[in-house]
Order: sequence, then structure tokens, then C-alpha cells
Amino acid sequence: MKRLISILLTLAMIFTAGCSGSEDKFNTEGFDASKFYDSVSSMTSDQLAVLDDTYITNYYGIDIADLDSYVFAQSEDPNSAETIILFKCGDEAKRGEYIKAVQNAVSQKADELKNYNQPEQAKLVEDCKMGQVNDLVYVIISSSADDIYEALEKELLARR
Amino acid sequence: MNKRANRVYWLLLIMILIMGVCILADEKRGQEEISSDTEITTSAPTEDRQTESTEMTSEGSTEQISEGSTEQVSEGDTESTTAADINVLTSYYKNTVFTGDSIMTGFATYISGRKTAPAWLKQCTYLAKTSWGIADALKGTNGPMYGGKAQGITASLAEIKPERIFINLGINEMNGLGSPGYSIEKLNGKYGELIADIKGAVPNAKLYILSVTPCTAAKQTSMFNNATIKKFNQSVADKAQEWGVTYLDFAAEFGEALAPEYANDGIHHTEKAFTEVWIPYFEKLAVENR
Repeated sequence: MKRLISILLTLAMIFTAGCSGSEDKFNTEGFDASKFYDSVSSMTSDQLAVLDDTYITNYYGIDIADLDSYVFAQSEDPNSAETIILFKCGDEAKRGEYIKAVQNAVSQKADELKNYNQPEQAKLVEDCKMGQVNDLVYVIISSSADDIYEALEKELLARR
Repeated sequence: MNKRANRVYWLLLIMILIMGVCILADEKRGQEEISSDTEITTSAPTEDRQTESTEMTSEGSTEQISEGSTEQVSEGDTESTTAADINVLTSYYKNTVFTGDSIMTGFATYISGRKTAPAWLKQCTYLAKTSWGIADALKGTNGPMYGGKAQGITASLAEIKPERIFINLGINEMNGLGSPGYSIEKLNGKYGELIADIKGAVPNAKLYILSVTPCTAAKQTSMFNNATIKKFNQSVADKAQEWGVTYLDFAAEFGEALAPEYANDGIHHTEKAFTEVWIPYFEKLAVENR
């Protein structure tokens, strides 16, 4: 019995040691959104336009001064849903506000494309990769969303 | 003693197992943060789509176009823009809104996304929405995104308080014209209502209606064609004076039908159309009416 307990304890200790630091699995420190975007931009079906600051502020209501690193890119073809948004915002309250704005934009894009009889594009919006890791917010709407997301995950894992 | 030792072992084991479970759960949460597609929900609002110039001065200068007039920018190549012209253009388009449907969305994305696009157009605000139409705009809700919100066009304009507003709407409603209960007159009436709403929201803004641009010859059908677009444009031109807006026959720049090289799908415009037609048109408009 003692032996069994000792084995279990040892295994538990090894497991515990292996899991330590799991909260640092993804690291966004020093992440450069533009650089990352450049590395994945060839993966999109359409040529995406990287939007300028005026447009970002007007459309999303995002004050660029609040962001540490960002890229907002969308297809020049209005029939296409393809969009890549990556931004880092250290201010939690602002980040929450901006996530809401991005949610609204994604909702509207889905709405627009459904109305425009573009079900495949609307599906891309529904299946988009969207979320946040620490201070980084990402939205990936693309037929290659899985691959782009995988690249993002690798990038964030490599930074830990 | 043996019993006591066993108890200690069991207690330690339970504690470590609890710790392990906690760490596992924590790690799973961390992974979900990046892998979950529902982290930020996409609650798409569902809205049923309906099928369907007084003397104008610009920074001290008097314009030649009068409100309520029908105006066409003269033909000819745009001369190279001088520094003086840039000042005129920047001033003319300062605090200007371009609003419209997917054709305008394409232009807005092009202007924003190209470093070579003129700064005097980059400074403008674009309120554009794919699949949008006159009837949608009149609803007063769920208009183009502005400031992170999808609100009605009049609400956005009231926030912006623009000096000039260029409106390009109607292409999405051309398909339904001629079907029972839906006519050019009815759509025209809605356009008049929309203009009145916009004027109510921003009474000091100068309004310009850009005529609906044609589609390519190949894109035409019995229900969607350039003859209908032309008729609708004429009906709007006829009402411009009554509505107190400036009608700009922008469609004339494209001829009877949209050239294939200017269209990516028969309706929406290409980069070539933006650089060869749109930008020179707005440049000429400002320079000629400085």
C-alpha cells in the first residue's frame, strides 16, 4: 500500500512539475501585429487592404493612441468577407470597449453578406476565429482562418 | 503509527491531486482563451431587408454649383495637381462624408488601404454598408458602422456634423423596380424622405446626390439594367431642386454601360475605376467649384 501511495505521489509530483508555468503558455509581450500580418498575408484568398488610422477610428471608434501594436486589414472586394484584425491594448477597460466595437463590426459584416446573397462569405464570418489572449485581440475571417490562427498560436507559443 | 503514516500519505496525495486538477483546469482555460471562437460572441442582429443649392461657400470662396442644380463635371483629362490645388482639395473635402452602399465600401477601402491614395480623400469619413439601400437608410437603424456602432445614418451624421455629404445609393433597389407595388416613383419618394431626414439631422450640411452608376452590358437582365438605372437617375435629377440638394451626374462618367475593366463583377468598381474616374472626378469637382 505504502509503495502504491509513494508511486502515486511521485507521479503526481512529476505531473505537477510538468504543468507548472502553463499560465505562461501564450506570451504576447513584444508581439508585433504588423510583422505577424506580413508573415500570413499571402495566406488569404484576396488581396487585403491595410486600413489607415482615420478609417479605423471612424469605423471602429478605436483611438489608435490606446493601442500598442495593431493591424486592420480587409478585402478590397465588398463581396468578400476576408478580414484580419490584430491589436494589443494594455488598458483593460478600453480593450473591452474595443472588443465590443469589433463584435459589432463582425455582426454587421455577417448581416451584410447574408442580405447580399453571399452565403459562403457569411459562413466565413460565422466560422471566424475571434478571441483575446492577454492584451491581444484577434479576428480572422478567411477561408484560411484555421491556418492563420495556427500560425498565430505558434507565434505566441514561441514567445513564452 | 502505520495508520497515522498512511493517513498522512493519503492527505498529501489528495492535496497534490487537487493541485493537479486546478492546474489542468487553469491550463484548459488558457487554451480556450485563444482557441474558442465564442470568446467574443457574434450576435448578428437580424433585420429583414426590404426588397425590395443655395449659394454654397467653401472656406470663403463662392462655388459655382448652386444647390438644387444638376451638375456634371466637365470632360477631359485631369491636369497634374499643383500644390495650390492640393490646398483647395484639402479645404473642399475637409469634414466631408461619403455615404453609400457596397460600391462606396469598395471606394472607402481603396482610399484607406492605399498609401498612394490622395490625402484629401483619406481625411473624409466614409459611411458605407454592403447591401444597403435607400429604404434601409430610411429605417433609421442599423446603418453603416461609425465609431464602433451600427447606428442609423442620421444619428452618425448628427455626431459628425459634416459640411458636405455625398450620397450614392439606389443600385441595390434597381432589381426590384418594375415589380408589382414597387416603382421608380415610390423609390424616389423614399429618397426624398431620406434627404429630408438627413437635412433635419444636419441642417447646415451641403448635400450632393451621386447618380447610380451603370452596370456592365453583360450584367444586365430584364429586371436589372441600365435603362432602369437611367430612368431612376433622371427621376432623382428632376427632384433635386425640390429637395434642395445638388445632383451630380456621376454615372455619366462611365458612359451607357460600365466598362468591363472598371468592374470586378459587373457592378462593383475596380482600382482602375477609382484611379481613372472617381479620384479625377472629385478632384475636378472641387477645383472647378473652389
